[in-house]
Parts: sequence; C-alpha cells; structure tokens
Amino acid sequence: MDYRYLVIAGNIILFSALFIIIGLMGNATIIVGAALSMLTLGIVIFVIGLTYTEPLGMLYRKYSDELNRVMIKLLEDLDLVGNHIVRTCKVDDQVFILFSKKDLECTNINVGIGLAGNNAYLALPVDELIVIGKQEFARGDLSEILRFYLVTYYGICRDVIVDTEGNEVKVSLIGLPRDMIRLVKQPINPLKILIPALTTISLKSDTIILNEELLEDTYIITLRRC
Amino acid sequence: MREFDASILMFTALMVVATISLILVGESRADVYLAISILIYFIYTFIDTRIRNRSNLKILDIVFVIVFTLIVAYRLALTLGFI
Repeated sequence: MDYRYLVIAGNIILFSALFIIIGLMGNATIIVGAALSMLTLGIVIFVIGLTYTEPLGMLYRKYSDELNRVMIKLLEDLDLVGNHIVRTCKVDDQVFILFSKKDLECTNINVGIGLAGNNAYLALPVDELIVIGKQEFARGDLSEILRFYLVTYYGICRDVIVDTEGNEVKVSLIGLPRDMIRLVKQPINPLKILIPALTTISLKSDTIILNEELLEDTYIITLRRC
Repeated sequence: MREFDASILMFTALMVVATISLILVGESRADVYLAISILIYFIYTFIDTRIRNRSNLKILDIVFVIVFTLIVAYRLALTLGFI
C-alpha cells in the first residue's frame, strides 16, 4: 500500500464526482464526460495505491515461503514438529536459535543440524538480523531496543509492550500488518527468531520460548531467561 | 523521481491529453470519454509493465471490461435501433 497514491486518488475522485454532479445538474454532457475520464484516472490510481507492493516484496515473499517449506521439512525429518523447545544460545559474540526436543546445553552446539547426545537439533544463526545496531544495546532497556528494531527499523508493528515478571518476559506486538500475520502463522516465523535474539542480546542471557499466541493483529510471546 | 512515479505521471498525462482532445473536437457523448479512458488504461498498462508488476489490477480489469462491453452494447443497440 502506498498512501501517497491513495491521497492523490481520493482528491481526483472527489473533484470528478463534484463535476459529474455539476454536469448532470446543468445537463452539460461534455463536463460529465471529462469528469468520467478523471474519475477513471482516480479509480486506477486508487487501486494502484491500495495494491502497491515494493519492488522486491513479491520476490522476498515467495522466496521466504519456499525456504519455510524446506525448514518445515527439516523439522519434520528431525522429529521436531509439535512439541519442540525453542531457545536462544549466545556463545561468545554469536547468537543462534536452537530448535530441539529437550532443553540442551549451548556449549556443544554448532550452527546447522546436529546431534547432542541422542537429541537432534537445528541451530539457526541470527547475527545478520540484529547486527545493525549492536552499539545500541550498550544503552537503553529491552522495551526501547525492541521498539527501535520492531517499530522504527523493521516497521513490523505499531507498538511494543514489554512486561517483566521475575524471569519471565512477555512481549506484545500491537498492530501487525497483514503480511506479517500470514508469516506468524507459520511454524518458523521471523518474530519467533527476532524477539528472543534481541532479548538475549539486551538482557545478556539466553532465553527460552514458553508460549506464543496471535490475537487478531496482536502477537504475544512469553520468554524465560535461562 | 522513482521510475514507478514516472509511469503514473505518464499515464495521467495520456488521460489528460485524450480528455482535452475529446473536449476540443466537441465530443458530447459522456460514454465515449469513459470508453477512451478505459482503452488508454489497458493499452498503457500492458505496454508499461511496471504498473502491473507492482500492483494487482485484476479486479479493476474485470470491472473495466464489463463497463466497456456495456458501452459498446449500448452503442450497438442504438445503431441497430433497439433503443
């Protein structure tokens, strides 16, 4: 969606509708005809503004869908679909997300697919997602950092609310766009990876996902510090 | 200026020029203005594919085809003396 086009189209539609009424009242068919032309233009620009997608948006969406299918297949093969644990691991300066059946120690984990004892795991590196402003983490609390990334930088929600109770951190993302809601419904979604990673960096402690839920356009994720 | 904006601007310019031309030749049938606008829309958006690549115009296409067909049917009925 591009609001600039919607505003322009709204003005064109309004003025052409006015001229159609004036033309009909004065029985001036030329004015009605010209206003109809402009109304067509307004409607076209309105639809363009309403359905506009960024140049690479479509490609990224399809690409992400394809990768997600591969990831889901991987999780199925590792028997991690359903009751798996998702946690973050911070080893030295590297952060990764770990999908496993049991809560594993981070010390023997390598990025990718692997076995820790008899437990299969999938570890995804997330450094690229949070690399933009690691210096930002030096100051500011968790809610400021999450707001900076999720609202200002990535623009994936309208507001972020953080509730901390003991070791539990509840993050609510309000006003998710339609595309994000579609992504959140998938087993591996960007929020499930990004929020724990940011929390880990900010709190300087590994986190484990306890619960996640989607209520209309609000996404709530509960994490526990390890 | 973004390339996409230039496409929209060109489309707008074409519509304005066509409308002014019809006014200058004294065309008084309102449906002709609408039909020409719809034709310009289809021709331009199929030549300059940037608009179609970045927006979804399927529903608009269907609506415009229906409107255009109705205009043609109306003119045909008038010519054949059905109306």
